[in-house]
Amino acid sequence: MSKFPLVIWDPGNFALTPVNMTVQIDIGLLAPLPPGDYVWPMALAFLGVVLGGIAMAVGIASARSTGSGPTRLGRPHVVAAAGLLAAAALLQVVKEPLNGWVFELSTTWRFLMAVIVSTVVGAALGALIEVALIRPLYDRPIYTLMITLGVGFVLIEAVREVWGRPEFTMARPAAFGGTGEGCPGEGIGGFFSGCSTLMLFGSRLRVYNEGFIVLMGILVLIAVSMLLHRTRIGMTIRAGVQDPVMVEALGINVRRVFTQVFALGSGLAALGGVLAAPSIGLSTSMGALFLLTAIVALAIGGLTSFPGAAAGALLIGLLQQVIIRLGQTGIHIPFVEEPFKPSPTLVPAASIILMVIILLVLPSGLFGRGER
Amino acid sequence: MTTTVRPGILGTLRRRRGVLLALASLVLFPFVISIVVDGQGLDAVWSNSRGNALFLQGLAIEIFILGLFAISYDLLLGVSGILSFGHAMFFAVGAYGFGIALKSFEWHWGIALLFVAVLAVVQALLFAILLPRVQGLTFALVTLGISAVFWIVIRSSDLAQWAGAEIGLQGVRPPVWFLDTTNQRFVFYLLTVAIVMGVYVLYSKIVDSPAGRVLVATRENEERAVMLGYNTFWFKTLALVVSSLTAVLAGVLHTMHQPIVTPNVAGLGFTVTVLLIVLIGGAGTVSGALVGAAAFRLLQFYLDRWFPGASGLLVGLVYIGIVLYLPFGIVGTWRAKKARIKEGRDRLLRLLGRRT
Repeated sequence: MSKFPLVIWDPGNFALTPVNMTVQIDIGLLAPLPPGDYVWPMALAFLGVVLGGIAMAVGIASARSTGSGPTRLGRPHVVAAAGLLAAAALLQVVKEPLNGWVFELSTTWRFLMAVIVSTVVGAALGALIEVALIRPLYDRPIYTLMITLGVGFVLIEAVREVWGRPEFTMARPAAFGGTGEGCPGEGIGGFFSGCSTLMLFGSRLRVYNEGFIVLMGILVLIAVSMLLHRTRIGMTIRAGVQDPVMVEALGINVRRVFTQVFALGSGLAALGGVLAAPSIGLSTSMGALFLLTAIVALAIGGLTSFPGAAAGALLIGLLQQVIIRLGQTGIHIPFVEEPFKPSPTLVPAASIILMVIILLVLPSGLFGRGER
Repeated sequence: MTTTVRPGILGTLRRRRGVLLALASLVLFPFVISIVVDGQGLDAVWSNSRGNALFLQGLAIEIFILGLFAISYDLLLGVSGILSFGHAMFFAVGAYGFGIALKSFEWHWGIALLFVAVLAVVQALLFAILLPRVQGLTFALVTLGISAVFWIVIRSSDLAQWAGAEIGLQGVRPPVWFLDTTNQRFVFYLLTVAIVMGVYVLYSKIVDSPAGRVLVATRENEERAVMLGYNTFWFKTLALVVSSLTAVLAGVLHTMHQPIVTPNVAGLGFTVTVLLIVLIGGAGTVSGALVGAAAFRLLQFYLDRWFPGASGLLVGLVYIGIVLYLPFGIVGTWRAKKARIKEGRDRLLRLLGRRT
């Protein structure tokens, strides 16, 4: 499966980012490898889950903040993207100047630290932005969209000012980097063997990309839906979305609840950024890369539905893999001799077309409550 | 202030004195720059000799193109209340359609213009058939999706032969002398000035017309407009068609003015740019789009010149400031405060002992 570079971007092996790789394929420097030792459809499903897992982490983050009203699209997403980026950049800071004991630690511990620090910082940044910039604009939806675009732009530019434009790679944690004796691991148990890959159902999986990220996505999904449906604060959030004036009249500080929701969303976006970093590399456009995908996933699942966001992410992840596969085999259009082979750059179009079709049939998405 | 409507040509001239003033100053602008800044004669403008005049004409043409595009977005967003995130596609269809028709198919420029006009109507109707099905945010998302697909297709390697993939469309030769921005810059400049002023007058007439009033009513309360017996769908379709034609015209001028048309003009970023321009100028005020375009491009240009490297950061900060502190845009805020400013001026004149 490592021979399928379009799907598994490994900065360590290929020293390439997805963008570079696409460009190189476009100008003919790099040939997409022909399908061969590639197990269909089991491997396909897992690869889909990887992309889905990453998109899910971002999508969930956005979904949480978007729940507060259908007119507020954009604000959470853009800040989510900026938060993702800021967190990943912060990861770089944390990694480098704390030389000494940080570098003595194994990459696993460092990774854990990075995850915690950047999630907390992302949440704090989100809370700060909400209080300072977004709160005065709640009654003018388009302006909240503009302000978040502006903030995202400024944050990304600030990152460029400090760290420059080059792209960074981040080492995969050692717990998922083992090679050599006894590797690849066998079955589910291989997940804990410390190997970088494991054999499952006759196909080879990379533990971090295909296992760990997906697991984290599912954990976050469960945790957030527990928070929303089983706790008091979750009840307040849902009530505040329905009728903020009434909730305020009951003596609950709705503004503070919205700030907390925004902080939670930003923090989850930051978590998504850290988790994605070892797999796709760090660049100033890594947030924007997932922004459109996250919006599409949300729209497919329904803007008001929390599990819908996850389902939408899963769906487009799978669809993209199918299209990549079709790009290799070619689609036989009737009455045309040459099979049509969509180039890798056309892949995202498929999920967007899916979104357009779904929205035209079901304007509130697959799982959204129809409120208009 | 008395607002007596005078009949005849004189009355029209009087009512349009702002436009005439702008037209006159824009036509004189290159000559003034040529004499005052460059120290060259009047001939320098005609012969397109190098200097600030030539350069500033180029910058002004960029502003006019952005302004045309922004005014077409203002008709949708500000006047009719249609929130579309696919507006960049309107522009890009004009830019790419005209360029490809000239370069790859080698059509006559008149036929190419007709071709992009047909494309403009077709894409406007495509957006219009979505209108009854999806509203509000969902409409924004669907239009975003359609334009994102267009963006992906236009920059894909499958169309590299025509659209030039990620690099963009280049090597489009000017088909006729007045569209030649390199050798006939002043003529092209006058052409864009005429087009922008013409479109501005047309748009302000549309907004003041009964159809424009229905559009404003639709923006304010669509249900009520329907109750009053207006079929708002047709009015919105009209707005979309007019807006699309204007945006496509801006795209055509862009193809003629720029040596290369990058796929960025089809991307979400360009829609956001035009949204920013409209908000800076003031949504719903037709002249605001032109003011916003000038403010946007000049700000971007001079910040880039004075603070190279940090310009992106500064532009972003200025945007945040504008969004927070000029909520109705430049023209909107000016209109809201005009009465008070006039009052203050009168008081000042009285203090100075003059009778008003």
